[in-house]
Amino acid sequence: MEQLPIVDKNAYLVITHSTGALYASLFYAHYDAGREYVLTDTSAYPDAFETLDHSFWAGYFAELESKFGWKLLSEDEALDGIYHVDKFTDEGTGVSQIKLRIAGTADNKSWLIRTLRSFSQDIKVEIYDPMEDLSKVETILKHRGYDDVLVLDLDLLRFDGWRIGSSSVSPSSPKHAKIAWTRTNGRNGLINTILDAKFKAFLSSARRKAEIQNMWANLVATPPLASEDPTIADLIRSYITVQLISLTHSQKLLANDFGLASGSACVVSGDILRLLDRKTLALAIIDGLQLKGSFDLYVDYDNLVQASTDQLYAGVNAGNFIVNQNLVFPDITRVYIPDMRKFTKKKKVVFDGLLDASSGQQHIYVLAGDYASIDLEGVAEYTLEGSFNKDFSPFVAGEDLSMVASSYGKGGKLKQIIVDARAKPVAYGPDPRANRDKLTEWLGI
Amino acid sequence: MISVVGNIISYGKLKLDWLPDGRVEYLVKRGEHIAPGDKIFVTRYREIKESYYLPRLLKIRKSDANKYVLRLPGEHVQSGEVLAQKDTAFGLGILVVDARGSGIVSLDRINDGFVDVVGEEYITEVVSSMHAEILDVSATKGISLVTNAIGVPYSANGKLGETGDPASSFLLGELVFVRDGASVYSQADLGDDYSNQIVYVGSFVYPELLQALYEKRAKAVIVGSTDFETVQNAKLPVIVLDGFGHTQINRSKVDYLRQHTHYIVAVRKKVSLMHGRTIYLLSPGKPLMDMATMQYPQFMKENSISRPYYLSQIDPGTRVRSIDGENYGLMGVVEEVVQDTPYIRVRTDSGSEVLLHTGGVVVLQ
Repeated sequence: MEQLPIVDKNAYLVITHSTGALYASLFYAHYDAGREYVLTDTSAYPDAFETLDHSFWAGYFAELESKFGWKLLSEDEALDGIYHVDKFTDEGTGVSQIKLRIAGTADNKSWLIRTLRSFSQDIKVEIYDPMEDLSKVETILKHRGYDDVLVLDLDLLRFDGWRIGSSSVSPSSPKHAKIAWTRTNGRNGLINTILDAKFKAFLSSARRKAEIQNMWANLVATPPLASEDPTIADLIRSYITVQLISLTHSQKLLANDFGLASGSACVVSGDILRLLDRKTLALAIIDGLQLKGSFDLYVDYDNLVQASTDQLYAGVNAGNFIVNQNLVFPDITRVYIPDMRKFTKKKKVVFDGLLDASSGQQHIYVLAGDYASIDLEGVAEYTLEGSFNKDFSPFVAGEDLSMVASSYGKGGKLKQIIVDARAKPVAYGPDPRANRDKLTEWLGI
Repeated sequence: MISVVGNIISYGKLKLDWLPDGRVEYLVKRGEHIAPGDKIFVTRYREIKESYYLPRLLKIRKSDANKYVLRLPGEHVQSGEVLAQKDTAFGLGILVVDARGSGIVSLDRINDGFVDVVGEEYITEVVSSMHAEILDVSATKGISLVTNAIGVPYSANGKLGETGDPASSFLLGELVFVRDGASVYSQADLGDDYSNQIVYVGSFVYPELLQALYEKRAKAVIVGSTDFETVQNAKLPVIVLDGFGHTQINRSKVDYLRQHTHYIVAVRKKVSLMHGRTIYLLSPGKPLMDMATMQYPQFMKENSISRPYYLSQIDPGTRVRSIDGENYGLMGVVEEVVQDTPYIRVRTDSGSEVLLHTGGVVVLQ
């Protein structure tokens, strides 16, 4: 008897979109052989929807086929320009489905769908309600041991934050806050924010004012998907910080007491994530949301969680494709933000631990005033055991002060541990030079 | 990672309104088809011989400029006669603005702080450079027309329009260049009058030249690159073609525009997610319906038709442009795609070699 694709092997392509980028995720699984992987692509969006048309989609899918080495679509023999999804036959040929997921809150979605339909009738379009998705993400993360969830989607032109959970510190109902430049003055308005004193207060660049303004204007006018430039990183760190502060002002419960529940997870996605490193991103999130306690940070560069929410939620009951959570959830950055109210002098030990890896043992100390990271990438098997000084616990009163992490811990693989032992509240300014001194101390840049 | 580069795109059936400056007599009617060489309208206006910016000369607020003018609009003045004056130091001193040449006083721009001395009225006949269908002609909206266009993308703009402008609102003018546009220019390079013209001012522009062009009634300015602050402080619309700062200019785009000197160009006053940053060259040399024969689905014919512009494959030989930070604008040819990394080795146009991240470049055609 012929086996159903879902229990043998299968491939499935999901495309999600944001205001600045399209994310493609091609999942493949050969269940019998225990072989599964996901191929991803992030592509910048055209500047204007009017240029997004039949030829855009034709070019886009041709590029995906070339990049993935996977035949996805074929042109109709009778109808010029109309494409059909190739049926899945084997690895590299066809998929069981191509789906475009669009948030119900997205701008110009009808244009997106019309142009896609002019290219192919076979591609499934799913318009989802972000709040409904959020409930599913909560359920998924609950299975991974979390009961307080913060989801951040950080696009250059739009910031969204959602909070949901069932812990004692979670809000009683899901909360959402957003800042969207798309519906106000668009890029022109965003370019002008460089003149805003709040934004400038977080900058640390030594460059001349005119240079910084020009670089910001270029960044907004033509955003890169990745950057190697320290001034761009400085601008993005400042921008994320000030935007998150604004989000918490508009929705006070968005991050209130987040991190104080024992299972807190922050999932962050967006088209500006590759413009700065993970340690700096965590710093911007901590300072922007003024976080305390501890949480696991999932930096979802490829938007995989949003791409596979339905499959993860359905689990083994997914009708078309079963997605393995370990393919989707990125490596974890575990963040500890000890209570530094008793911080009076530097050099006092806040955390004392021992990293026991196959390559050897290493003592780890974090001192008061530090913003420290323990990098576990590339460390195959390890155990990290340690404890926080009772005066500087990141946990709620009465909880065990010890911290144990291993290569096979809760929720996935740990990539990095961050201990933020800076004095709180963190003060920036009064000028870029003072910020630079502080950031050099915290980030070593 | 792939970046979509904005390239030159063809548009079919672009609808726009054209409201010319000055006193206008329209020579076209609703329902007419116009072709290159057809007369569209006649404008009557006076060439500005001298402009006087009272807020600077009298140290007053722009809104108060009218209070200090001693002449009536239309009055003839001779060189040396007083145009405006202000008492200073409680009447002990006086600041005076004298006419540098003779002509007619114009207060058309007094709300912007200017007193102009203009020459004799003269008449300009505006001739079409495009194929278009006239949808309507009215005193308030000007000429409503539909045409096709070639879109040339630009990077950013300033002062194009107000927040409340409708999406269909355009700024139109005749495209002219200051000399050949290949250099940086000063006021000495400018002509006398730029009424109803959109001026390409060179690879970079300083505030003084923008002020001079404003005084010479330029409708808008296109520039290769300039400082953010210059655009912020400009008094007229500025369209920045390639980016801010002293960036390398994409010559092919400028050459393309130069080939279309004296064509009518349009830019949207309001840029949105739907309608991007584009300079529309109106129907440059093509009959209106040429593109309707292209093999695209029906709805595409009625809206926007574009030729494929999506390029992403980066191979040795691909021409790229950096959009990342300090390297912004740098152009060159890929010499090597560094295996298993997101980096490419690029030989720049100036001959140097740089390593760039693929996420920080766009592919050029």
